[in-house]
Amino acid sequence: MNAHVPDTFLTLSSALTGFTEETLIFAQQTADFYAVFEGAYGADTLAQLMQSFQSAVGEGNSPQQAAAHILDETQDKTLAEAARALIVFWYLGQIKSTADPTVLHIPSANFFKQGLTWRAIQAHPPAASTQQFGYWTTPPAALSDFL
Amino acid sequence: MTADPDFDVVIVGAGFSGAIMAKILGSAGKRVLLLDSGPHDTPDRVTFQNAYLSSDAKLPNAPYPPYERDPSRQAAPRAMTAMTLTWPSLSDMRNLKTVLPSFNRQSYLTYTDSSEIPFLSTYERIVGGTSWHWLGTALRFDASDFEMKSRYNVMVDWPLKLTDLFDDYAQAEKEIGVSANVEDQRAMEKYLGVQFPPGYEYPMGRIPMSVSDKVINEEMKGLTFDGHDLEMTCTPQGRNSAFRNGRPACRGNSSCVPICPIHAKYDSMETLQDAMATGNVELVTQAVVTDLEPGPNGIIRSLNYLVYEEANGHISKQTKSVTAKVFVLAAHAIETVKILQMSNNRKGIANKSDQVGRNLMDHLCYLGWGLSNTQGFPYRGPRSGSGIETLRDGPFRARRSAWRVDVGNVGWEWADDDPATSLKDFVNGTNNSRLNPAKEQLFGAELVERLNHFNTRMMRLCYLVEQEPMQENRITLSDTHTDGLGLPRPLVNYRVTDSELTLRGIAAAEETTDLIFDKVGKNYSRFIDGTGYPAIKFNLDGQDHKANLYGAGHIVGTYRMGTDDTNSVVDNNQRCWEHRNLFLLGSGSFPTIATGNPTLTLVALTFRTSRSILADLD
Amino acid sequence: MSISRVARSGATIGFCAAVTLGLSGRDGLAQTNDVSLAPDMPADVIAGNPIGNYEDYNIYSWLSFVALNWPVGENGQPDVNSIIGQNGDNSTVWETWMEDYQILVEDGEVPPTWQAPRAVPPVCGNTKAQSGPSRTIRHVSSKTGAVVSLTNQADAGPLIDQNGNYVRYEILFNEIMYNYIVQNKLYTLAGLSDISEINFPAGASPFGNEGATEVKASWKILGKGDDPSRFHVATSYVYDQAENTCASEMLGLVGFHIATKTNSAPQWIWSTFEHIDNAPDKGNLNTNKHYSFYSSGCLDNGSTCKANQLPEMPWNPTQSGQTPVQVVREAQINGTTTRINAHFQGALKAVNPHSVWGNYILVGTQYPQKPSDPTDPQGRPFPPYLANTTMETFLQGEVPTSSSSCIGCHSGATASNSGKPTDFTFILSRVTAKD
Repeated sequence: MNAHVPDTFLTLSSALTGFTEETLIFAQQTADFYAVFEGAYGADTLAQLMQSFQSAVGEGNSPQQAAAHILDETQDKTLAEAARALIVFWYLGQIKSTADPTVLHIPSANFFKQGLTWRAIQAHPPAASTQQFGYWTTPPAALSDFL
Repeated sequence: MTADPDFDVVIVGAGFSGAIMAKILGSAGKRVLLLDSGPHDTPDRVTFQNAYLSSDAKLPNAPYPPYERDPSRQAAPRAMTAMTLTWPSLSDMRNLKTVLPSFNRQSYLTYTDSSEIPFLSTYERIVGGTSWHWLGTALRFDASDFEMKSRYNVMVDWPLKLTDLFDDYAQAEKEIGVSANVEDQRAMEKYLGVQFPPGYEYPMGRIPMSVSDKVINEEMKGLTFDGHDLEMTCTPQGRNSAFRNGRPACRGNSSCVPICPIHAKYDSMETLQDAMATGNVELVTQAVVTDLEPGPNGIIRSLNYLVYEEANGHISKQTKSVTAKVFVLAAHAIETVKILQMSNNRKGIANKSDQVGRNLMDHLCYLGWGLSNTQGFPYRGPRSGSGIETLRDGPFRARRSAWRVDVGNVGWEWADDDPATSLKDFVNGTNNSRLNPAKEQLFGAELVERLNHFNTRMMRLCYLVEQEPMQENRITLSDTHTDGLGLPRPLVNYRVTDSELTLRGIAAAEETTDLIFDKVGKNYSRFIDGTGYPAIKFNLDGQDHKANLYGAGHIVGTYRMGTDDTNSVVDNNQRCWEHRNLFLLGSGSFPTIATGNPTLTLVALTFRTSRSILADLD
Repeated sequence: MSISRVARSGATIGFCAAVTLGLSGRDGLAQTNDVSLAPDMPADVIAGNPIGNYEDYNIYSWLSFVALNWPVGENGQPDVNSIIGQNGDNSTVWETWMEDYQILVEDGEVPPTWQAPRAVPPVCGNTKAQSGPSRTIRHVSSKTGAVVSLTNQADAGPLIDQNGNYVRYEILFNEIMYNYIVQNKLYTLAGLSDISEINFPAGASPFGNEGATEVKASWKILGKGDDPSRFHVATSYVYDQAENTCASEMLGLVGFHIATKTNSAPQWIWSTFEHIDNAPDKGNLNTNKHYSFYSSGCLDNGSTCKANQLPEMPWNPTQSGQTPVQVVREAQINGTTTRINAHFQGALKAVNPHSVWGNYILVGTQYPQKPSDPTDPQGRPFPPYLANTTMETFLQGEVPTSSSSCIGCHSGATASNSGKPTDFTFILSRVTAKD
């Protein structure tokens, strides 16, 4: 499953979002964040993002430091904006549309369902809960379990 | 003698009322034709669920067709929340006259320039009607709701009392499948009076309170307003708390509006299947009624309608006519009025009282929102499962509108489209949610923690303010705008500030919000002066107020029931005074909007009217 | 080693005892003799979770299918002296199991004992039966929208075949499940209220205990254009409770679900099989083959029939000659599964080239990838969506919550008198007897 997704995309995404690679792999099973992001921002931008991240890590930076480096607008504004768009995409399933780049859209229902925002707030996307009757009467699992 | 009519009964509209009446009459062996203006989605709901999840704006209409926006090209357009998003801001209202022509071109509901705000609620024109996107709240009205004139000398009395509806409420709760514990509701007796006969039990047990509800309820303890305790009650809900009638128990998908993906919430589709299974009900979809033809003594002889097909943006239509012994309009408070007004060569019928189309009402929603000190973990559980019911009645109703408070389980979603808004703020360094005043840009663990900190504490109260019936809040036919079938679109005149009673209700909601959040956490409610945030301003007792208002989806009052043909359109069986074989179902017959959500009562009245029709036919 | 076998007690182990599976990794199937045909249920998959190995689960499914369809001997046990399909078709082990309606008793009644002869509805006694029907398929004709009624699919409606006949559904369960239900009186509302948690026994490895197992079968009436020698066949009474009518019909098995609870899968393992003549893949419609639920010439008002649409209401299975549902398989069966299908079909045909069992294919196996995920009681099912064209015809696709997911839907099964979870079975959602 998702054999085409490079490891660097997952480690980069993990550093940007604060979620584990395992969670991202589960999301990829029904919503191909990698391919859609590549389609929207171009293979070059995506390659540059991964390369920039990887070389920062190669220089001995932690993944967090490497992510901060990419997000630093004083270094490369375009790249920083693309990275931020990638965060929003993972969190909300919204990405600029190829038809109209000025608006965000949701490529398919599964992207909405897999949005990380709902996990970050210990909840579930509306209309896509996997819980059972009455779960709402008790607090959710610990935040760390959702990451 | 004329030939035998085609059907015993023709029912227009396959929503709550129409489907239930078709089932009752079909089961009694009557031959029924059921017409609906929209398409019949197969009951598997996959298409609607997909449309909802992948839509960018998760508004109440989002799952349902028509998906395009241009009402002049649609055969069965309907009111849409999306249209209110272009309504001018309060400070821009002086420009209404210049903005209106373009607004009216794009909106199915068109407006007069004396309107203050657009009508804020929406409905669906598909088989199943607005039952698709109702919330599921199934409260009985209280005794005073039916007797406002006698008890408080405001508004009007209903030609009915609560006790007259006890049996019909019980039947409605059974058909819908309402989950509640009657003890919870009886505990409100000291505020609301008796609402249940002795020995009554709901079909299923309660849907329990969410963590968030329990947090607010606990922290509100000791607060009072207008002399009544602020306390929460589990809301009776038309959602299963057990497996019943082939439908599963609620799993808290938090999307009751606009769609329950697992059909734990009742909608008309199951009743419609029962109706069809009687073998006596014929359903015609994509059938838009144009007019009724009255004969001698006002008896309606026939009904004319257009059956249409839509393909590639082109609409083809065919005119049909049908005769019956009895005619029933169950097409909602706006479409039913349109049919009456289009009849008799657009001179209208059933209007001796001049009340057709008047007294359009909604529960005006005032939103109070803020953060609680304790994490309540919203965005989990049914969209709303509890409410503050203690202030639905009291002596204060002589001077101000009463309200109930719907306590949400979905954080600030309604208020500011969270968690999406705060997420974008924290990533991009903006501050639309007002939760990122330093305009920080976050990522990774910090982003998770910040998002979690705020969103797990969000709370939203929705005050459903009882709007006073006003003669000038009315629906007429537009002379200038038509739909895709060439039929006139509704012209709406809608104002709020002419009723001091209503305004005092809104002001009381503002005050209560302060009171609650002073105790519970921090009030973030605010007035938004922006396009798409319909708002009013008013002065009470020397104090200026501004408030944004939202719709409850409760469309009420346009063919009120009353005691005679001078003050009302229908009698207390929803029978037209002037056309004795014509019945008008739905909340359009309510003389007042009362303090409960209208669905349960309109279903109860459907059972009552069905008895009248069966008696007529036998 | 990734799949464990049920340990059979007593001396009748015979043929199967030697079967030890040496599968590991993706090359396991290269050695076809690794997976033999045997009458014993596999007990569990030793899972490499999270994520797991899909191939192991698919082999588990096929081993279950073979074991459950093994020729039945005495007392409902597999006849270890026979081999599946040696005579083409055979009566099977699962067909002797308890039917759901047998435990859905009226107030005051008690379910029959395990393996007690089935009572035939009186009206069926009047039927001119051909050579003693082996079973009774019941259906109700009017209650619609039910998660399980015997002509309606879960959360949808009926499937009508190319001959205009309604497909019939049947739900049965094994002795372990039966004992748990009876011992806890879960066939009554009182029993459902009294029990603190419904928790069926799970198949366990390495001890080899068998787990609670439920099967759902879909049958079509064999008629014009159908070749009975291609199907597993049962002559049945088709009984309509509401109309009180009964007919003796020759039914062919077109779909088969197996759900087993195991230690590694508290959300159960869900296997689904179909007959190869059911319907073509969406991507491969240009075919002249005869299908039970698809017609290449199907036209509606001059245009090609829309696939997988519910039939017009009213739905009434007693009416014949109704408009067929045009069915296609929306998602192609994946490569791993196809390879395993070829292997098992080959093994079955090797026993007898006319074996009917070689005409069935595994569509997929859904299992929990992370069974004890505290954030997801469904345990992250894989594949996320799975449908059988005869049982979830109308819910194929990939729309969250609505499209068919075995675990997704069944994790919402509750008692008929409360929101108490029934451990993934909807049988207990239909209990009406008080005590």
